[in-house]
Amino acid sequence: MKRWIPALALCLLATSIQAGEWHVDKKAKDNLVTFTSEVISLTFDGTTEKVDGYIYWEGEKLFEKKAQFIIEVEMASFDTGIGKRNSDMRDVIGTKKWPKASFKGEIVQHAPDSTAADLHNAIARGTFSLHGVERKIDVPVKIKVARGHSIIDANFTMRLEDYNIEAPSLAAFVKVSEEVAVAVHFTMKHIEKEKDSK
Amino acid sequence: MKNILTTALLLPTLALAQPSWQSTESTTEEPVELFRATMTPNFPTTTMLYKGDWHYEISHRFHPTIDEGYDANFGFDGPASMRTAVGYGVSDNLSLTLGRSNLLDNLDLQIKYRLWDAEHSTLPSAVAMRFGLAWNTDIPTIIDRGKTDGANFQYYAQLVYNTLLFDGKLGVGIVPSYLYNSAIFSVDKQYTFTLGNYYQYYFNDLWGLWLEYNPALSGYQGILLPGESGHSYDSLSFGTSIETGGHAFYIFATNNTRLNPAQFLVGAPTSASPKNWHIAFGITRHL
Repeated sequence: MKRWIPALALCLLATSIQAGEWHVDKKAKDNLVTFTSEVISLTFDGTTEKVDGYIYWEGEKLFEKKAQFIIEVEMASFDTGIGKRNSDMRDVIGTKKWPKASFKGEIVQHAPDSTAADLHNAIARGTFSLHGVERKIDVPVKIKVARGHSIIDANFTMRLEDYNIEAPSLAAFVKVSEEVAVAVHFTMKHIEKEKDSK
Repeated sequence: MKNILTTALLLPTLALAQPSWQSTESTTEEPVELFRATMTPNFPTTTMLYKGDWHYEISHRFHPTIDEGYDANFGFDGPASMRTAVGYGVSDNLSLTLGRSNLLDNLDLQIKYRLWDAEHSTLPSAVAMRFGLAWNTDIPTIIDRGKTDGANFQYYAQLVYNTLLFDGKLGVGIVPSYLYNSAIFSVDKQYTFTLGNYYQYYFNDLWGLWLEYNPALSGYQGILLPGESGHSYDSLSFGTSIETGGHAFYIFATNNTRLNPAQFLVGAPTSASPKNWHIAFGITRHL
């Protein structure tokens, strides 16, 4: 019987591991993913609020151990302000075959921001998947932590050719910029959860 | 035995050490768009304007034939029949278009509605309806009739079926069309029923070749204007298409210089023999 005590103790210890889990609050009104294509006199952007995902880590402190995340965006939902342009964009990105872009990885660095106590800077490192192509990228992220929820902001750029996307024509024969700026803003609700099997 | 018990005890714990978030299916609905443009030069497709989108069309049919050669600049010297039109997407399934042709100053109001579509691996399909009201506002002085006389109005209905074959390379359209009051200068009201059909082959996202044919199955296929003689003929048009950046460019040859549907559906002024081909173009732009 004595031989079982360590195993049971380990088991109880493991079942009371603290963990943090945030989910994208899909009901938040200000969720917004924006891409901007800058071409001289033909700059345009596309927006969507259809973003989903989570951040999960082990430990009591913020992103203490094994902080992992997945963020997904429904590509067909981007609105550029012109229906035909939305339709052309869906064709170019192949949204019927690859309906979502996803970013999956880990929080590899994080530190409180010097300007505000509730603000944290982090580096999200992972695999960005778009148009059936996966690439490793790092994205700097700002995280504002509040009671019950957090607000995530991130900005990065991507090149269409890196994802085998042929830059479409925007007006007659003027092509969309190869480089696209992406801005992400969304709210994550804190999931009240203690890893406890009791 | 010990290993089994340990595993049994730890398994629930390990299972719980995972995020509870689950990915969901995409909820964004995408319409079935078989043709990239909302129209071919003379017929509607089932592709619709999206809600709030504006659409502009300008089309020319040059009167001299290509056969007249250099002296008429192969037709480009003109004159030409012209149509300009502006369309608006009331919803993703309903659009309105107001157009005008310089032939009898024919004003043309169209309503297009998408009835049905279906994704299918080999035979994707879509059906739309188009109704039109045409008002001929330039009545020759030899006709004793006011502009607003009921006889100057024409009505038409078109059922549009589209499919896309051979891995998206060949678009096919069938457009049975009914025109009422085909001959506005006729004493008796006439009708024309045609079975329009068109085929567009896409070489790539930019270039395509297309052909339209509009045989009259029954009804009137006579003259259109006072002073004309003979009758009208089935329309044949063929040419190239360039689709890019919200534009569609059609450059083609046709035996039919009539543009607005209430005039085009009656038929072509001449037969479709090569000596009767006219150079023509149509340009559309999503605004």
